[in-house]
Amino acid sequence: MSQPDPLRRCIVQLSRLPGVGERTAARYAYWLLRQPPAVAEELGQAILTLSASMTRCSVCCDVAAQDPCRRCADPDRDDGLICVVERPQDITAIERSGEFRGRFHVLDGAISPMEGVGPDQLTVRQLLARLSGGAREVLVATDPDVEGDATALYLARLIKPLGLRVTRLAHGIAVGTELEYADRSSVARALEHRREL
Amino acid sequence: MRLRGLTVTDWRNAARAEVDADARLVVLHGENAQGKTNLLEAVWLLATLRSFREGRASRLIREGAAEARITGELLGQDGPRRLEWRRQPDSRELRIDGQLIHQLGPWFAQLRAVLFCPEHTQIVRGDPEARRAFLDRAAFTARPAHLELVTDYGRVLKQKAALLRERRADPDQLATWDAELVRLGAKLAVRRQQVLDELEGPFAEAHGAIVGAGPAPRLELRGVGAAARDEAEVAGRFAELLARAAPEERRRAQPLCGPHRDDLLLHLEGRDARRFASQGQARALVLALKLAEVEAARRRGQRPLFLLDDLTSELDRGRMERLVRRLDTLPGQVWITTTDPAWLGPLPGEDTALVRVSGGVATRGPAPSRPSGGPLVYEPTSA
Ligand SMILES: Nc1ncnc2c1ncn2[C@@H]1O[C@H](COP(=O)(O)OP(=O)(O)O)[C@@H](O)[C@H]1O
Ligand SMILES: [Mg+2]
Ligand SMILES: [Zn+2]
Repeated sequence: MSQPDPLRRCIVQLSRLPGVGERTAARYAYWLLRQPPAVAEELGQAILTLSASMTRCSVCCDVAAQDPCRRCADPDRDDGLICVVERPQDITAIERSGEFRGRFHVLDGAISPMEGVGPDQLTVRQLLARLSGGAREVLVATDPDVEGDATALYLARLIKPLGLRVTRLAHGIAVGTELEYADRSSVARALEHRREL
Repeated sequence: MRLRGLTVTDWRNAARAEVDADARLVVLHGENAQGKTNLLEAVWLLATLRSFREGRASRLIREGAAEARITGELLGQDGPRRLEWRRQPDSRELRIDGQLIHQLGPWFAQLRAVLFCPEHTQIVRGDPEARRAFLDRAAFTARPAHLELVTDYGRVLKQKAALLRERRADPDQLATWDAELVRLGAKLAVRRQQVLDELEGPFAEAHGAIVGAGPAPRLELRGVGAAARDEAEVAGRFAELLARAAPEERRRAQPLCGPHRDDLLLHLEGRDARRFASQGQARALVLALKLAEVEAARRRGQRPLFLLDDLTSELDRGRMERLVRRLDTLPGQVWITTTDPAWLGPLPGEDTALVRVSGGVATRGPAPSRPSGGPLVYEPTSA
Protein backbone atom coordinates (compact mmCIF):
# COMPACT_ATOMS: atom_id res chain seq x y z
CA MET A 1 0.00 0.00 0.00
CA SER A 2 1.32 3.44 -0.94
CA GLN A 3 1.78 6.18 1.66
CA PRO A 4 -1.09 8.71 1.62
CA ASP A 5 0.00 12.15 0.42
CA PRO A 6 0.17 14.32 3.61
CA LEU A 7 -0.67 17.52 1.76
CA ARG A 8 -3.70 15.91 0.13
CA ARG A 9 -4.81 14.49 3.48
CA CYS A 10 -4.57 17.87 5.16
CA ILE A 11 -6.57 19.57 2.38
CA VAL A 12 -9.29 16.94 2.52
CA GLN A 13 -9.58 17.18 6.32
CA LEU A 14 -9.66 20.99 6.29
CA SER A 15 -12.33 21.01 3.61
CA ARG A 16 -14.63 19.12 6.00
CA LEU A 17 -14.95 22.29 8.08
CA PRO A 18 -18.23 24.14 7.58
CA GLY A 19 -17.97 26.88 4.96
CA VAL A 20 -14.59 25.68 3.75
CA GLY A 21 -14.34 24.32 0.22
CA GLU A 22 -11.44 22.55 -1.50
CA ARG A 23 -9.95 25.80 -2.70
CA THR A 24 -9.95 27.51 0.67
CA ALA A 25 -8.67 24.30 2.26
CA ALA A 26 -5.78 24.25 -0.19
CA ARG A 27 -4.98 27.88 0.64
CA TYR A 28 -4.89 27.05 4.35
CA ALA A 29 -2.71 23.98 3.77
CA TYR A 30 -0.16 25.85 1.64
CA TRP A 31 -0.12 28.70 4.15
CA LEU A 32 0.59 26.23 6.97
CA LEU A 33 3.41 24.71 4.92
CA ARG A 34 5.14 28.08 4.73
CA GLN A 35 4.95 28.72 8.50
CA PRO A 36 7.49 27.64 11.10
CA PRO A 37 6.57 24.21 12.57
CA ALA A 38 5.43 25.81 15.83
CA VAL A 39 2.39 27.31 14.14
CA ALA A 40 1.08 23.93 12.98
CA GLU A 41 1.92 22.41 16.37
CA GLU A 42 -0.03 25.04 18.25
CA LEU A 43 -3.03 24.63 15.93
CA GLY A 44 -2.90 20.83 16.16
CA GLN A 45 -2.66 20.97 19.95
CA ALA A 46 -5.58 23.39 20.18
CA ILE A 47 -7.76 21.05 18.16
CA LEU A 48 -6.73 17.97 20.12
CA THR A 49 -7.27 19.64 23.47
CA LEU A 50 -10.68 20.83 22.33
CA SER A 51 -12.09 17.38 21.69
CA ALA A 52 -10.30 15.84 24.65
CA SER A 53 -11.24 18.37 27.33
CA MET A 54 -14.59 19.87 26.33
CA THR A 55 -17.67 18.43 27.88
CA ARG A 56 -21.29 19.45 28.31
CA CYS A 57 -22.59 21.45 31.17
CA SER A 58 -25.20 19.28 32.90
CA VAL A 59 -27.24 22.38 33.78
CA CYS A 60 -27.46 24.49 30.63
CA CYS A 61 -26.26 21.88 28.09
CA ASP A 62 -23.68 24.31 26.66
CA VAL A 63 -20.30 22.90 25.66
CA ALA A 64 -17.90 23.74 28.43
CA ALA A 65 -14.47 22.99 29.88
CA GLN A 66 -15.97 22.19 33.27
CA ASP A 67 -19.30 21.04 34.65
CA PRO A 68 -21.15 23.13 35.72
CA CYS A 69 -19.91 25.68 33.22
CA ARG A 70 -18.51 29.11 34.02
CA ARG A 71 -21.86 30.85 33.46
CA CYS A 72 -23.89 28.37 35.49
CA ALA A 73 -21.36 28.63 38.34
CA ASP A 74 -21.42 32.46 38.29
CA PRO A 75 -23.31 33.57 41.46
CA ASP A 76 -23.97 37.07 40.04
CA ARG A 77 -26.33 35.95 37.35
CA ASP A 78 -30.09 36.17 37.72
CA ASP A 79 -31.60 32.71 38.27
CA GLY A 80 -35.03 34.11 37.52
CA LEU A 81 -34.43 34.59 33.81
CA ILE A 82 -33.44 31.78 31.45
CA CYS A 83 -32.68 32.47 27.82
CA VAL A 84 -33.21 29.48 25.53
CA VAL A 85 -31.10 29.29 22.37
CA GLU A 86 -30.75 26.74 19.58
CA ARG A 87 -26.98 26.44 19.64
CA PRO A 88 -23.96 27.41 21.77
CA GLN A 89 -22.83 30.14 19.35
CA ASP A 90 -26.08 32.02 19.95
CA ILE A 91 -25.04 32.60 23.56
CA THR A 92 -22.10 34.66 22.39
CA ALA A 93 -24.37 36.91 20.34
CA ILE A 94 -26.61 37.63 23.32
CA GLU A 95 -23.69 38.11 25.70
CA ARG A 96 -22.09 40.56 23.28
CA SER A 97 -25.11 42.83 23.56
CA GLY A 98 -24.14 43.41 27.21
CA GLU A 99 -27.83 43.65 28.15
CA PHE A 100 -28.45 40.19 29.49
CA ARG A 101 -27.55 38.98 32.98
CA GLY A 102 -29.67 35.86 33.23
CA ARG A 103 -28.90 32.19 32.62
CA PHE A 104 -28.83 30.26 29.36
CA HIS A 105 -30.11 26.99 28.05
CA VAL A 106 -28.93 25.33 24.84
CA LEU A 107 -31.70 23.36 23.13
CA ASP A 108 -29.50 21.71 20.54
CA GLY A 109 -31.69 22.68 17.61
CA ALA A 110 -35.37 23.24 16.97
CA ILE A 111 -38.36 20.98 16.58
CA SER A 112 -38.62 19.62 13.04
CA PRO A 113 -40.62 16.44 12.43
CA MET A 114 -39.40 16.40 8.81
CA GLU A 115 -35.90 15.82 10.09
CA GLY A 116 -36.99 13.51 12.87
CA VAL A 117 -36.29 16.10 15.56
CA GLY A 118 -38.82 16.26 18.36
CA PRO A 119 -38.59 17.39 22.01
CA ASP A 120 -36.85 14.13 22.92
CA GLN A 121 -34.00 14.88 20.54
CA LEU A 122 -33.60 18.32 22.14
CA THR A 123 -32.76 19.23 25.73
CA VAL A 124 -36.37 20.10 26.60
CA ARG A 125 -36.50 17.70 29.54
CA GLN A 126 -33.37 19.26 31.07
CA LEU A 127 -34.92 22.71 30.64
CA LEU A 128 -38.15 21.74 32.40
CA ALA A 129 -36.14 20.22 35.24
CA ARG A 130 -34.38 23.57 35.81
CA LEU A 131 -37.54 25.61 36.13
CA SER A 132 -38.24 24.78 39.77
CA GLY A 133 -35.02 26.57 40.75
CA GLY A 134 -36.53 30.04 41.11
CA ALA A 135 -37.14 30.87 37.47
CA ARG A 136 -39.66 33.63 36.72
CA GLU A 137 -39.26 34.04 32.98
CA VAL A 138 -38.12 31.93 30.05
CA LEU A 139 -36.96 34.04 27.12
CA VAL A 140 -37.04 31.96 23.94
CA ALA A 141 -34.39 33.12 21.47
CA THR A 142 -34.70 30.41 18.85
CA ASP A 143 -34.26 31.40 15.17
CA PRO A 144 -36.99 33.52 13.59
CA ASP A 145 -37.98 30.80 11.13
CA VAL A 146 -40.79 28.26 10.94
CA GLU A 147 -39.08 25.73 13.20
CA GLY A 148 -37.81 28.33 15.66
CA ASP A 149 -41.27 29.90 15.97
CA ALA A 150 -42.94 26.53 16.50
CA THR A 151 -40.37 25.56 19.12
CA ALA A 152 -41.02 28.80 21.00
CA LEU A 153 -44.75 28.18 20.92
CA TYR A 154 -44.29 24.59 22.03
CA LEU A 155 -42.18 25.63 25.01
CA ALA A 156 -44.75 28.27 25.95
CA ARG A 157 -47.40 25.56 25.92
CA LEU A 158 -45.45 23.48 28.39
CA ILE A 159 -44.08 26.24 30.59
CA LYS A 160 -46.86 28.79 30.98
CA PRO A 161 -49.12 26.41 32.94
CA LEU A 162 -46.31 26.28 35.53
CA GLY A 163 -46.96 29.94 36.23
CA LEU A 164 -43.86 31.32 34.50
CA ARG A 165 -43.66 34.12 31.95
CA VAL A 166 -42.59 32.97 28.52
CA THR A 167 -41.28 35.64 26.16
CA ARG A 168 -39.90 35.67 22.64
CA LEU A 169 -37.00 37.71 21.37
CA ALA A 170 -38.49 40.50 19.23
CA HIS A 171 -37.82 40.36 15.52
CA GLY A 172 -35.65 43.46 15.60
CA ILE A 173 -33.25 41.18 13.85
CA ALA A 174 -33.70 40.94 10.07
CA VAL A 175 -35.91 37.99 9.24
CA GLY A 176 -33.88 34.91 8.44
CA THR A 177 -30.82 36.18 10.25
CA GLU A 178 -29.48 33.68 12.69
CA LEU A 179 -28.59 35.17 16.04
CA GLU A 180 -24.99 34.24 15.49
CA TYR A 181 -24.72 36.81 12.71
CA ALA A 182 -26.81 39.59 14.25
CA ASP A 183 -25.06 42.77 15.32
CA ARG A 184 -24.85 43.98 18.91
CA SER A 185 -27.34 46.80 18.89
CA SER A 186 -30.03 44.81 17.10
CA VAL A 187 -29.69 42.03 19.67
CA ALA A 188 -30.00 44.62 22.44
CA ARG A 189 -33.13 46.01 20.79
CA ALA A 190 -34.59 42.53 20.38
CA LEU A 191 -34.00 41.85 24.06
CA GLU A 192 -35.62 45.05 25.15
CA HIS A 193 -38.70 44.55 23.00
CA ARG A 194 -39.24 40.90 23.77
CA ARG A 195 -42.88 39.98 23.62
CA GLU A 196 -45.13 37.77 25.69
CA LEU A 197 -45.99 34.37 24.26
CA MET B 1 -41.62 50.73 -15.83
CA ARG B 2 -39.55 49.75 -18.80
CA LEU B 3 -36.87 47.18 -19.46
CA ARG B 4 -34.80 49.08 -21.99
CA GLY B 5 -32.28 46.38 -22.64
CA LEU B 6 -31.99 42.67 -22.02
CA THR B 7 -28.76 40.74 -22.47
CA VAL B 8 -28.49 37.01 -21.94
CA THR B 9 -25.32 34.93 -21.99
CA ASP B 10 -25.32 31.13 -22.15
CA TRP B 11 -28.99 31.23 -21.28
CA ARG B 12 -31.07 28.33 -22.68
CA ASN B 13 -30.30 28.15 -26.40
CA ALA B 14 -28.65 31.57 -26.60
CA ALA B 15 -24.86 31.91 -26.44
CA ARG B 16 -25.43 35.64 -26.35
CA ALA B 17 -28.46 37.70 -27.22
CA GLU B 18 -28.96 41.41 -26.81
CA VAL B 19 -32.45 42.78 -27.06
CA ASP B 20 -32.79 46.50 -27.66
CA ALA B 21 -36.17 46.91 -26.04
CA ASP B 22 -36.48 50.65 -25.56
CA ALA B 23 -40.13 50.79 -26.57
CA ARG B 24 -43.55 50.50 -24.98
CA LEU B 25 -44.37 47.38 -26.98
CA VAL B 26 -41.71 44.76 -27.67
CA VAL B 27 -42.58 42.03 -30.16
CA LEU B 28 -40.25 39.03 -30.29
CA HIS B 29 -40.97 37.16 -33.49
CA GLY B 30 -39.46 34.28 -35.42
CA GLU B 31 -39.88 30.63 -36.36
CA ASN B 32 -40.58 27.97 -33.77
CA ALA B 33 -37.84 26.81 -31.40
CA GLN B 34 -35.63 29.84 -32.06
CA GLY B 35 -35.61 31.13 -28.50
CA LYS B 36 -38.46 33.67 -28.32
CA THR B 37 -39.99 32.16 -25.23
CA ASN B 38 -36.53 31.72 -23.76
CA LEU B 39 -36.05 35.48 -23.91
CA LEU B 40 -39.46 36.17 -22.38
CA GLU B 41 -38.59 33.67 -19.68
CA ALA B 42 -35.43 35.68 -18.99
CA VAL B 43 -37.51 38.81 -18.39
CA TRP B 44 -39.85 36.86 -16.08
CA LEU B 45 -36.90 35.47 -14.23
CA LEU B 46 -35.51 38.96 -13.57
CA ALA B 47 -38.88 39.93 -12.12
CA THR B 48 -39.62 36.83 -10.05
CA LEU B 49 -36.39 34.79 -9.83
CA ARG B 50 -38.40 31.84 -11.11
CA SER B 51 -38.83 30.17 -14.44
CA PHE B 52 -42.33 29.65 -15.79
CA ARG B 53 -41.31 26.42 -17.42
CA GLU B 54 -39.91 23.16 -16.09
CA GLY B 55 -37.75 24.09 -13.21
CA ARG B 56 -34.42 22.29 -13.05
CA ALA B 57 -31.94 25.11 -12.61
CA SER B 58 -29.24 23.29 -14.55
CA ARG B 59 -31.44 23.35 -17.68
CA LEU B 60 -31.40 27.13 -17.64
CA ILE B 61 -27.69 27.15 -18.45
CA ARG B 62 -26.90 26.66 -22.12
CA GLU B 63 -25.80 23.11 -22.82
CA GLY B 64 -22.05 22.86 -22.40
CA ALA B 65 -21.69 26.24 -20.69
CA ALA B 66 -20.68 26.77 -17.04
CA GLU B 67 -22.72 29.83 -16.14
CA ALA B 68 -25.82 31.58 -17.42
CA ARG B 69 -26.19 35.32 -17.10
CA ILE B 70 -29.10 37.71 -17.57
CA THR B 71 -28.72 41.46 -17.41
CA GLY B 72 -31.58 43.92 -17.52
CA GLU B 73 -31.32 47.67 -18.01
CA LEU B 74 -34.29 49.06 -16.19
CA LEU B 75 -35.91 52.45 -16.33
CA GLY B 76 -38.28 52.95 -13.41
CA GLN B 77 -39.36 55.65 -11.01
CA ASP B 78 -35.88 55.77 -9.47
CA GLY B 79 -34.16 56.28 -12.82
CA PRO B 80 -31.99 53.72 -14.57
CA ARG B 81 -30.94 50.57 -12.72
CA ARG B 82 -29.07 47.52 -13.77
CA LEU B 83 -30.22 44.07 -12.65
CA GLU B 84 -27.85 41.18 -13.02
CA TRP B 85 -28.55 37.50 -12.43
CA ARG B 86 -25.97 34.75 -12.70
CA ARG B 87 -26.54 31.07 -12.33
CA GLN B 88 -24.09 28.23 -11.93
CA PRO B 89 -25.33 24.67 -11.48
CA ASP B 90 -25.52 25.05 -7.72
CA SER B 91 -25.21 28.71 -6.92
CA ARG B 92 -26.79 32.01 -7.83
CA GLU B 93 -25.63 35.57 -7.71
CA LEU B 94 -27.75 38.73 -7.82
CA ARG B 95 -26.50 42.25 -8.35
CA ILE B 96 -28.22 45.60 -8.51
CA ASP B 97 -26.01 48.22 -10.13
CA GLY B 98 -23.02 45.98 -9.57
CA GLN B 99 -23.70 45.51 -5.83
CA LEU B 100 -24.20 41.98 -4.57
CA ILE B 101 -27.69 41.45 -3.15
CA HIS B 102 -28.35 38.96 -0.36
CA GLN B 103 -31.92 39.78 0.59
CA LEU B 104 -34.67 39.40 -1.93
CA GLY B 105 -36.82 42.32 -0.80
CA PRO B 106 -34.81 45.02 -2.60
CA TRP B 107 -34.57 42.86 -5.70
CA PHE B 108 -38.32 42.27 -6.00
CA ALA B 109 -38.94 45.96 -5.45
CA GLN B 110 -37.22 46.77 -8.75
CA LEU B 111 -39.28 44.99 -11.34
CA ARG B 112 -42.76 43.51 -11.41
CA ALA B 113 -44.30 41.49 -14.20
CA VAL B 114 -47.54 39.80 -15.11
CA LEU B 115 -47.33 36.78 -17.39
CA PHE B 116 -49.77 35.23 -19.81
CA CYS B 117 -48.88 32.01 -21.61
CA PRO B 118 -51.03 29.45 -23.43
CA GLU B 119 -50.76 26.90 -20.60
CA HIS B 120 -52.52 29.37 -18.31
CA THR B 121 -55.93 28.22 -19.57
CA GLN B 122 -55.30 25.69 -16.80
CA ILE B 123 -56.27 28.48 -14.42
CA VAL B 124 -59.82 28.15 -15.73
CA ARG B 125 -59.99 24.49 -16.69
CA GLY B 126 -57.40 22.78 -14.48
CA ASP B 127 -57.20 21.70 -10.86
CA PRO B 128 -57.74 24.07 -7.93
CA GLU B 129 -53.98 24.10 -7.46
CA ALA B 130 -53.56 26.13 -10.68
CA ARG B 131 -56.06 28.72 -9.41
CA ARG B 132 -54.44 28.95 -5.99
CA ALA B 133 -51.09 29.39 -7.71
CA PHE B 134 -52.57 32.21 -9.80
CA LEU B 135 -53.94 33.92 -6.73
CA ASP B 136 -50.71 33.59 -4.78
CA ARG B 137 -48.73 34.80 -7.78
CA ALA B 138 -51.01 37.83 -8.10
CA ALA B 139 -50.69 38.50 -4.37
CA PHE B 140 -46.89 38.29 -4.74
CA THR B 141 -46.88 40.72 -7.64
CA ALA B 142 -48.92 43.10 -5.51
CA ARG B 143 -46.88 42.59 -2.32
CA PRO B 144 -43.71 40.52 -2.70
CA ALA B 145 -43.72 39.64 1.03
CA HIS B 146 -46.57 37.25 0.18
CA LEU B 147 -43.95 34.81 -1.09
CA GLU B 148 -42.53 34.40 2.40
CA LEU B 149 -45.97 33.75 3.81
CA VAL B 150 -46.72 31.09 1.19
CA THR B 151 -43.33 29.46 1.78
CA ASP B 152 -43.71 29.45 5.57
CA TYR B 153 -47.28 28.15 5.43
CA GLY B 154 -46.16 25.34 3.10
CA ARG B 155 -43.33 24.44 5.43
CA VAL B 156 -45.55 24.32 8.51
CA LEU B 157 -47.92 22.10 6.54
CA LYS B 158 -45.08 19.72 5.67
CA GLN B 159 -43.93 19.63 9.27
CA LYS B 160 -47.43 18.82 10.43
CA ALA B 161 -47.73 16.10 7.80
CA ALA B 162 -44.44 14.59 8.95
CA LEU B 163 -45.63 14.66 12.56
CA LEU B 164 -48.92 12.98 11.63
CA ARG B 165 -46.95 10.19 10.02
CA GLU B 166 -45.11 9.46 13.27
CA ARG B 167 -46.40 6.45 15.14
CA ARG B 168 -47.44 8.36 18.23
CA ALA B 169 -47.73 12.04 17.44
CA ASP B 170 -47.25 14.15 20.58
CA PRO B 171 -50.53 16.08 21.12
CA ASP B 172 -48.74 19.17 22.46
CA GLN B 173 -46.60 19.29 19.37
CA LEU B 174 -49.57 18.75 17.08
CA ALA B 175 -51.41 21.59 18.78
CA THR B 176 -48.36 23.77 18.27
CA TRP B 177 -48.12 23.11 14.54
CA ASP B 178 -51.88 23.62 14.21
CA ALA B 179 -51.60 26.97 15.97
CA GLU B 180 -48.89 28.04 13.53
CA LEU B 181 -50.96 26.76 10.62
CA VAL B 182 -53.91 28.83 11.81
CA ARG B 183 -51.83 31.96 12.35
CA LEU B 184 -50.16 31.83 8.93
CA GLY B 185 -53.22 30.41 7.17
CA ALA B 186 -55.43 33.27 8.33
CA LYS B 187 -52.88 35.82 7.09
CA LEU B 188 -52.62 33.96 3.79
CA ALA B 189 -56.39 33.85 3.30
CA VAL B 190 -56.78 37.55 4.07
CA ARG B 191 -54.05 38.50 1.60
CA ARG B 192 -55.66 36.33 -1.07
CA GLN B 193 -59.05 37.89 -0.47
CA GLN B 194 -57.50 41.33 -0.63
CA VAL B 195 -55.98 40.66 -4.03
CA LEU B 196 -59.26 39.13 -5.15
CA ASP B 197 -61.15 42.23 -4.11
CA GLU B 198 -58.68 44.30 -6.10
CA LEU B 199 -59.11 42.09 -9.17
CA GLU B 200 -62.90 41.81 -9.23
CA GLY B 201 -63.76 45.13 -10.88
CA PRO B 202 -60.87 45.29 -13.38
CA PHE B 203 -61.52 41.64 -14.28
CA ALA B 204 -65.13 42.20 -15.33
CA GLU B 205 -64.11 45.33 -17.17
CA ALA B 206 -61.21 43.69 -19.05
CA HIS B 207 -63.36 40.73 -19.97
CA GLY B 208 -65.93 43.05 -21.46
CA ALA B 209 -63.21 44.83 -23.42
CA ILE B 210 -62.06 41.57 -25.02
CA VAL B 211 -65.32 39.76 -25.73
CA GLY B 212 -67.65 42.73 -26.10
CA ALA B 213 -70.83 43.27 -24.13
CA GLY B 214 -72.39 40.50 -22.06
CA PRO B 215 -72.88 39.48 -18.44
CA ALA B 216 -69.78 40.10 -16.37
CA PRO B 217 -67.91 37.05 -15.05
CA ARG B 218 -67.44 36.78 -11.28
CA LEU B 219 -64.70 35.55 -8.96
CA GLU B 220 -65.39 33.76 -5.70
CA LEU B 221 -63.12 32.07 -3.19
CA ARG B 222 -64.42 28.83 -1.69
CA GLY B 223 -63.16 27.10 1.41
CA VAL B 224 -61.93 28.19 4.80
CA GLY B 225 -60.54 31.40 3.27
CA ALA B 226 -63.89 32.41 1.73
CA ALA B 227 -64.61 36.11 2.23
CA ALA B 228 -61.57 36.34 4.48
CA ARG B 229 -61.46 40.00 5.39
CA ASP B 230 -60.78 39.74 9.09
CA GLU B 231 -57.77 37.77 10.26
CA ALA B 232 -59.10 36.92 13.72
CA GLU B 233 -62.42 35.77 12.31
CA VAL B 234 -60.75 33.48 9.74
CA ALA B 235 -58.37 32.16 12.39
CA GLY B 236 -61.35 31.21 14.58
CA ARG B 237 -63.09 29.51 11.69
CA PHE B 238 -59.95 27.65 10.68
CA ALA B 239 -59.21 26.49 14.24
CA GLU B 240 -62.74 25.11 14.56
CA LEU B 241 -62.38 23.26 11.29
CA LEU B 242 -59.08 21.75 12.44
CA ALA B 243 -60.59 20.62 15.72
CA ARG B 244 -63.38 18.85 13.88
CA ALA B 245 -61.02 17.26 11.36
CA ALA B 246 -58.45 16.15 13.94
CA PRO B 247 -59.53 12.51 14.34
CA GLU B 248 -59.77 12.05 10.58
CA GLU B 249 -56.40 13.73 10.07
CA ARG B 250 -54.80 11.38 12.57
CA ARG B 251 -56.43 8.34 11.04
CA ARG B 252 -55.31 9.22 7.54
CA ALA B 253 -52.00 10.69 8.71
CA GLN B 254 -52.55 13.75 6.51
CA PRO B 255 -53.42 17.40 7.04
CA LEU B 256 -56.87 17.69 5.49
CA CYS B 257 -57.96 21.28 5.87
CA GLY B 258 -56.66 24.78 5.38
CA PRO B 259 -56.30 27.44 2.71
CA HIS B 260 -54.11 25.01 0.75
CA ARG B 261 -57.40 23.29 -0.07
CA ASP B 262 -59.31 26.43 -1.09
CA ASP B 263 -60.50 27.04 -4.62
CA LEU B 264 -61.22 30.08 -6.71
CA LEU B 265 -64.49 29.84 -8.61
CA LEU B 266 -64.98 31.62 -11.89
CA HIS B 267 -68.60 32.16 -12.77
CA LEU B 268 -69.37 32.82 -16.41
CA GLU B 269 -72.98 33.53 -17.26
CA GLY B 270 -73.97 32.06 -13.92
CA ARG B 271 -72.13 28.79 -14.44
CA ASP B 272 -68.86 27.32 -13.19
CA ALA B 273 -66.38 28.16 -15.94
CA ARG B 274 -64.20 25.22 -15.00
CA ARG B 275 -66.79 22.83 -16.31
CA PHE B 276 -68.63 24.85 -18.89
CA ALA B 277 -66.18 27.26 -20.54
CA SER B 278 -65.08 26.45 -24.08
CA GLN B 279 -61.38 26.73 -24.94
CA GLY B 280 -62.01 30.16 -26.47
CA GLN B 281 -63.95 31.35 -23.43
CA ALA B 282 -61.24 30.03 -21.14
CA ARG B 283 -58.58 32.00 -23.03
CA ALA B 284 -60.60 35.18 -22.84
CA LEU B 285 -61.15 34.66 -19.10
CA VAL B 286 -57.47 34.11 -18.41
CA LEU B 287 -56.46 37.11 -20.49
CA ALA B 288 -58.99 39.17 -18.56
CA LEU B 289 -57.56 37.93 -15.25
CA LYS B 290 -54.07 38.93 -16.33
CA LEU B 291 -55.18 42.31 -17.64
CA ALA B 292 -56.99 42.80 -14.34
CA GLU B 293 -53.74 42.14 -12.48
CA VAL B 294 -52.03 44.86 -14.48
CA GLU B 295 -54.91 47.28 -13.89
CA ALA B 296 -55.07 46.50 -10.17
CA ALA B 297 -51.33 47.20 -10.01
CA ARG B 298 -51.85 50.52 -11.77
CA ARG B 299 -54.41 51.48 -9.13
CA ARG B 300 -51.80 50.73 -6.47
CA GLY B 301 -49.39 53.00 -8.30
CA GLN B 302 -47.30 50.21 -9.83
CA ARG B 303 -46.52 49.67 -13.49
CA PRO B 304 -45.69 46.03 -14.04
CA LEU B 305 -44.48 44.66 -17.36
CA PHE B 306 -47.04 42.53 -19.15
CA LEU B 307 -45.51 39.48 -20.82
CA LEU B 308 -47.54 37.50 -23.35
CA ASP B 309 -46.12 34.29 -24.74
CA ASP B 310 -47.19 32.82 -28.05
CA LEU B 311 -50.13 35.03 -28.74
CA THR B 312 -50.48 33.50 -32.18
CA SER B 313 -53.26 31.00 -31.81
CA GLU B 314 -55.00 32.47 -28.84
CA LEU B 315 -57.87 34.54 -30.09
CA ASP B 316 -59.97 35.16 -33.15
CA ARG B 317 -59.23 38.22 -35.23
CA GLY B 318 -61.77 40.57 -33.65
CA ARG B 319 -60.73 39.73 -30.09
CA MET B 320 -57.06 39.96 -30.99
CA GLU B 321 -57.49 43.45 -32.37
CA ARG B 322 -59.39 44.52 -29.29
CA LEU B 323 -56.70 43.01 -27.09
CA VAL B 324 -53.88 44.81 -28.89
CA ARG B 325 -55.74 48.11 -28.61
CA ARG B 326 -56.15 47.41 -24.92
CA LEU B 327 -52.46 46.61 -24.52
CA ASP B 328 -51.67 50.01 -25.94
CA THR B 329 -53.45 51.63 -22.99
CA LEU B 330 -51.53 49.79 -20.25
CA PRO B 331 -49.30 51.76 -17.88
CA GLY B 332 -46.21 49.55 -18.26
CA GLN B 333 -44.20 47.97 -21.02
CA VAL B 334 -45.66 45.02 -22.94
CA TRP B 335 -43.64 42.08 -24.32
CA ILE B 336 -45.16 39.68 -26.83
CA THR B 337 -43.74 36.60 -28.51
CA THR B 338 -45.33 35.38 -31.72
CA THR B 339 -44.40 33.41 -34.79
CA ASP B 340 -45.90 36.11 -36.99
CA PRO B 341 -46.64 39.70 -35.97
CA ALA B 342 -49.22 39.89 -38.77
CA TRP B 343 -51.52 37.80 -36.54
CA LEU B 344 -51.59 40.60 -34.06
CA GLY B 345 -53.22 42.93 -36.57
CA PRO B 346 -52.24 46.58 -36.76
CA LEU B 347 -49.66 47.47 -34.13
CA PRO B 348 -49.31 50.89 -32.53
CA GLY B 349 -46.62 52.34 -34.75
CA GLU B 350 -44.10 54.72 -33.18
CA ASP B 351 -43.28 53.07 -29.91
CA THR B 352 -43.01 49.44 -30.97
CA ALA B 353 -39.81 47.41 -31.13
CA LEU B 354 -39.89 44.46 -33.50
CA VAL B 355 -37.19 41.99 -32.59
CA ARG B 356 -36.45 39.00 -34.75
CA VAL B 357 -35.24 35.91 -32.89
CA SER B 358 -33.38 33.25 -34.80
CA GLY B 359 -31.12 30.54 -33.42
CA GLY B 360 -30.96 32.25 -30.06
CA VAL B 361 -29.84 35.56 -31.58
CA ALA B 362 -32.00 38.68 -31.38
CA THR B 363 -31.94 41.42 -34.00
CA ARG B 364 -33.93 44.62 -33.82
CA GLY B 365 -35.75 44.53 -37.13
CA PRO B 366 -36.89 47.68 -38.87
CA ALA B 367 -40.61 48.26 -38.81
CA PRO B 368 -42.15 45.81 -41.23
CA SER B 369 -43.51 47.30 -44.38
CA ARG B 370 -46.89 45.99 -45.33
CA PRO B 371 -47.65 46.02 -49.03
CA SER B 372 -51.39 46.46 -49.34
CA GLY B 373 -53.12 43.12 -48.93
CA GLY B 374 -49.89 41.16 -49.17
CA PRO B 375 -48.01 39.32 -46.44
CA LEU B 376 -45.61 41.05 -44.13
CA VAL B 377 -42.21 41.70 -45.65
CA TYR B 378 -39.17 42.26 -43.52
CA GLU B 379 -36.31 44.23 -44.87
CA PRO B 380 -33.16 42.17 -44.58
CA THR B 381 -31.12 43.09 -41.54
CA SER B 382 -27.35 42.85 -41.47
CA ALA B 383 -26.20 39.79 -39.53
N1 LIG C 1 -30.17 24.68 -21.63
C1 LIG C 1 -30.36 24.69 -22.97
N2 LIG C 1 -29.30 24.57 -23.80
C2 LIG C 1 -29.51 24.59 -25.15
N3 LIG C 1 -30.71 24.72 -25.73
C3 LIG C 1 -31.78 24.85 -24.94
C4 LIG C 1 -31.67 24.85 -23.53
N4 LIG C 1 -32.92 25.00 -23.00
C5 LIG C 1 -33.76 25.09 -24.05
N5 LIG C 1 -33.09 24.99 -25.22
C6 LIG C 1 -33.62 25.03 -26.58
O1 LIG C 1 -34.33 26.21 -26.83
C7 LIG C 1 -35.29 25.95 -27.83
C8 LIG C 1 -36.66 26.43 -27.47
O2 LIG C 1 -36.68 27.78 -27.44
P1 LIG C 1 -38.05 28.53 -27.23
O3 LIG C 1 -37.70 29.83 -26.65
O4 LIG C 1 -39.03 27.70 -26.51
O5 LIG C 1 -38.52 28.66 -28.74
P2 LIG C 1 -39.64 29.55 -29.36
O6 LIG C 1 -38.92 30.50 -30.26
O7 LIG C 1 -40.50 28.59 -30.12
O8 LIG C 1 -40.38 30.23 -28.26
C9 LIG C 1 -35.41 24.46 -28.00
O9 LIG C 1 -34.82 24.09 -29.22
C10 LIG C 1 -34.66 23.93 -26.81
O10 LIG C 1 -34.06 22.71 -27.08
MG1 LIG D 1 -42.41 29.84 -27.68
ZN1 LIG E 1 -23.95 25.67 32.15
